[in-house]
Order: sequence, then structure tokens, then C-alpha cells
Amino acid sequence: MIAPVFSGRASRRALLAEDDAATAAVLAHLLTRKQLSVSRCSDGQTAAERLAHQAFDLVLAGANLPGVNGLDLLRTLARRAPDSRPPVILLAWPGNDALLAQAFREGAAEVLVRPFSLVEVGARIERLIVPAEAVTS
Amino acid sequence: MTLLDPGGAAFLGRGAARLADWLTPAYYEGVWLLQAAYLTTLGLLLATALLGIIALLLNVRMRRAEQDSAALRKRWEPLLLDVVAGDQAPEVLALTVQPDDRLEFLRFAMSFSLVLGGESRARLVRAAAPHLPRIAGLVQHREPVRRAFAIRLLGALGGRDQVPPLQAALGDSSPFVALAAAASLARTGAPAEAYAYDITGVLERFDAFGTAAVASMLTEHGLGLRAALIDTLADATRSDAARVAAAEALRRLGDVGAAEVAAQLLTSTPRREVGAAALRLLRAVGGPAHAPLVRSFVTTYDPVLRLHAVAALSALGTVADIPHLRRALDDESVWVAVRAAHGLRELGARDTLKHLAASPHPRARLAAQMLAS
Repeated sequence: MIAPVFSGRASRRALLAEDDAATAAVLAHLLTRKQLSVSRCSDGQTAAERLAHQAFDLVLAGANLPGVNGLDLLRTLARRAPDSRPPVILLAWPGNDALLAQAFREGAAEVLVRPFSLVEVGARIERLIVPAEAVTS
Repeated sequence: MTLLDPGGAAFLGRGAARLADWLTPAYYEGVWLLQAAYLTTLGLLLATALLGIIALLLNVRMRRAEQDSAALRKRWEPLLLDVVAGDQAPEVLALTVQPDDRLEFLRFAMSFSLVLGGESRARLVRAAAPHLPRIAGLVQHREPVRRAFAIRLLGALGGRDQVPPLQAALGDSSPFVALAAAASLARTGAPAEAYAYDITGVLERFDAFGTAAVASMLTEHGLGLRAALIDTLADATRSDAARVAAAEALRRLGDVGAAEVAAQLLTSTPRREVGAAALRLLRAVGGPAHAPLVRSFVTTYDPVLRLHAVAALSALGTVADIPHLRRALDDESVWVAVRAAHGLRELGARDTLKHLAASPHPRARLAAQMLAS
């Protein structure tokens, strides 16, 4: 079980790296409703650069991003110390069981296989991040 | 002489006058061949200019359509996101769609429907419901691509009430449309048992699409298709491709109950592709009880069957099977040998691999690679 991460910042930030426009729109909307500020990009290279220079409380990344994919991002994050490593939710399309297994081996906190229910995704996100009250108090 | 001095100007003037002559039909009077060439050239120039204008107009029209589509989507998106999140009633979104924009809205909503499940998708389906009749005509369109698109829309945004038209589309004259219908049925939320045999009954129509694509489609329906898939696999009158796709889908679904059918199939001298599919299925869902049958295929004459038998034995066998895999490492087929080396590692026979790697055996390098990987 991956423990929620507390970044120490007043507002919680999420990095959303996904090239499917509908998935990105739905998840960005959900994250905003959860009072996270969202940094969006549609390719892995940009995501890797943002991860290198900014701190995030949560990362949602597409498994099949062009260039640097979600698994590559996981491997990059795995080199960090555990307490500075944000939990990663990998976004996958159905029919790739090998990818699921590999994602968990590489350290993914969750794997979301589309189609997904927003209620379920919301619950998974809440499990992985520190509640807003805990951050602001 | 340059073009700027008086001589040059005179030269240019003469050139212009000559060009004007050439462009005058009277210049060619009496020389019928030149006249014909003149008229042909003029016709071609006019046709090129006309085509250029048409292309330009089409481009402008396409850009305008893209801009209109982007503007509509920008207007719908915030409301759609509120609807799927449960903050707005689906009917509110449905009311914002003008009759002329219905198809564009359904296309837009479909991209979200493929991503969403559960209550979120149900709300989207409710928002799309008043506009679905708009595509009734498209389902009958003369172009298969348009029909397939309409079928995908029905599956993505329709509920269980769309099962009958999708079942009917399985019999479409185009296999492409039929495959779209088979895939779309999985999105309706209806229990797969209700239409399972309708899909497996037309699997032969999908032979050209390849095993992986058809098996993926079948897997999306879940275990509700299980009985129909097992019947297809067991039926010797069905095409090899249909049976292989059924076996592959059962393997992906991890249906343990399919192991007995695969085992029975192997005892009836199946053709190569079906036998290989049965062995792959046994590797995934079989148990130790199937090991003796699989073992008998490790030495069969067909290298493809030997390859899959070695793979299956690697999963179902015990340490007692290490000698069988060791012998398979000597197989004349390098593919069988490579699979046997993998199998020895799977069964934990590191000592056997080490011994081989240190020997002058022709496959010593393979054993060494397996130990290092």
C-alpha cells in the first residue's frame, strides 16, 4: 500500500500527462473538483521536464504517451528518494495485461484502465493524496 | 545591351508584341495543327485554374467547418464535464444542441463515452438519447465506412435498446461493418449472454482481420461470451481462424473451464493452427493433469506444435520434466530450442543451464544467454 504523500506546500498540485483529449479533459475536471491545481501536457518529454523542476503531489500519466511514455516516467521517478516521489496513476487502454503487470513492477500506485467511472477514480485519487484540510491546517 | 537601355526596351516591346500575337487565335489561322495545340493549351490552362479555385474553396469550407466544430465543442465541453461529474442534469446538455449540430455533438460525445464507464457514461447516454435518431439514416448509408461509423456511435452512446439494430448489423454485407457491430455490442451494457451466439456465429466473416484484433474484440465482452467461445473452439466444422480466435479470447479471459475442451481437441489430431492455439490455451489455464498430454506433443513431427508444447510444458510441468526440456534444447528448430531454454529457466533448472553453458554443446551460448538474462 502506497502512503499518501505530503509535499508541504499550501496547495496540492497534480501533473496530468495524457494525449487523449477526452481523457485529459475529464481527469483535469475531476482533479480541479478535488481542489488540486493541475499542470496539463500531452507528451512525456514535457512531463519529464516538469517533474524535474517542480514538485507534485500526484502524477497521472498515459501509458502510451508519444516519446517518453508513462513507464519511462515511472522509471525516472524510481531513482528519487521514496519521500520525494509522488504517487503515479498510469492511464491505460484495455487489452494489455502485460503492461498492467509491468506498471505495478515499476512502482505505479494505480493503473486506470479505460473506460473508468469517475466515482471510482475520485476514490482512488483521494486514497493517494493528503486531504486539503490537512495541507491547509 | 541591357533591359534598361533603349535597345533593351525595344527588345522587350518586340517580345510583348510577339506574345500578344501568339495568344491571338487569328495568328494560327490556316495552320490547323498549331490551332489545335493552341486551343488544347488554353483549355488545359482554364481547367487548371478552375481546379485551383475549387481546391481553394474546398479548403476554405473545410477550415470553416473545423472552426465551427471547435467552437461548438468549446461550448459543449464545460457543460458535458459537469454532466458526467453529476453536477448538471443530462437533459440540460441535450437541450443546448441545435438540430443541425446533432451529428457533431454525437461525434464529440462518443470520444468521452469511450473513456467513461459506470454512472458517468450512463449520464452521457441520457444526454445523447434525444439525438440518436439523427443517425438512423446513416446506418443504412450506401458507404460501409459511414455505416460502420453510425454503428460505432450507436454502441458508444446507446443503451441496451440498441442491441437489436446492432445484432442486425452483424449480417451487414460488409465484414468491416459487422466487426464494428460486434465490438459495439460490448458497449451497450447488455449481458453478453444475450447476443453471444450471434457474434460467434459470424466469426468466419472476420477471418481477414487477424486473430489478435478479433480476440481483442471478443475479450471486451467478458466471460458472458464464454459458452459460445467454447462451443466455437470445439466445433470442427468452423474455420481454423474462428477457432483460433475463440481459443485466444478464452486464454485472455483466463477461463479455466476451457482447459478440458483444449485437451479434448488435442486428442483428435487437430490442424496445426488450432492445435497450437489449444496448447497456448492449456499453458494459460491448464493444470498438472494436462501435462502428460502436452508432453506427448513435445516430440511431435510439427515444429510449430513442438514449440507450443514446450511452452505449455514449461508452465504445467514439474522438475520431472526438466529432461524433456533438456532434449528439446537439441531440437533441429532453433525456435523450439530457444523456447526450451526459457522453459528450463521457468522450471528453475539453472544447474542444467549452467552445465550446458560450460560444455561444448552447440546451444551452449543460448544456455549462457538464458542464465544472464
